[in-house]
Amino acid sequence: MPLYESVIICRQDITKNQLDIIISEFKKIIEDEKGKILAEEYWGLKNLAYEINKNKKAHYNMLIIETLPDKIEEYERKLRLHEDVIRFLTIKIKAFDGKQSIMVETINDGN
Amino acid sequence: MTQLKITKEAVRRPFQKKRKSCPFSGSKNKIDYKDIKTLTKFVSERGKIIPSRISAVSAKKQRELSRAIKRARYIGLMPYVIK
Repeated sequence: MPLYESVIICRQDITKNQLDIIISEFKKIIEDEKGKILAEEYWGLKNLAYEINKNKKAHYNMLIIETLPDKIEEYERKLRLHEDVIRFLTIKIKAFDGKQSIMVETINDGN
Repeated sequence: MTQLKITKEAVRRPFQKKRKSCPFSGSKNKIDYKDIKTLTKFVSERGKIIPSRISAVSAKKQRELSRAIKRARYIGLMPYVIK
């Protein structure tokens, strides 16, 4: 099944556990449709380079998903409907090497 | 007759900058929309993408680079324009 890398950007004034609820909700959508979540990352509350819907900061999450294409369409439709998610980007990737993305390393030594 | 050819060629290429090698040819670092450190090297101080004739990047890598920069801009990691 094809591999997808999905970045979810949520607005700044939601609490951490609210964010966890949202992300687990989307993970459940994938897992219910026999998809698999290979990896999940939280990049933290980052400053945005420009304002998105009056937000100066945003919570960044990333999911590596393995599922059928039409399930991804359903997943994206739900992302669009959700009011806490201000932007998302899902791209198709050829292979997933299991390593953490560069963002996580910069966070660990960055802060 | 050959005399003329040489002069013409010399005139047409008066200024030939040293052909710099593509920065991505040797090292194995894949171009990724997430690592902002390498992407910002190929963006001007106004936030615009530097053309490959200046940054001496190969055409294939320049296409990957611009795709990654545009994705980074979309998700708010890089600015579209720096005032």
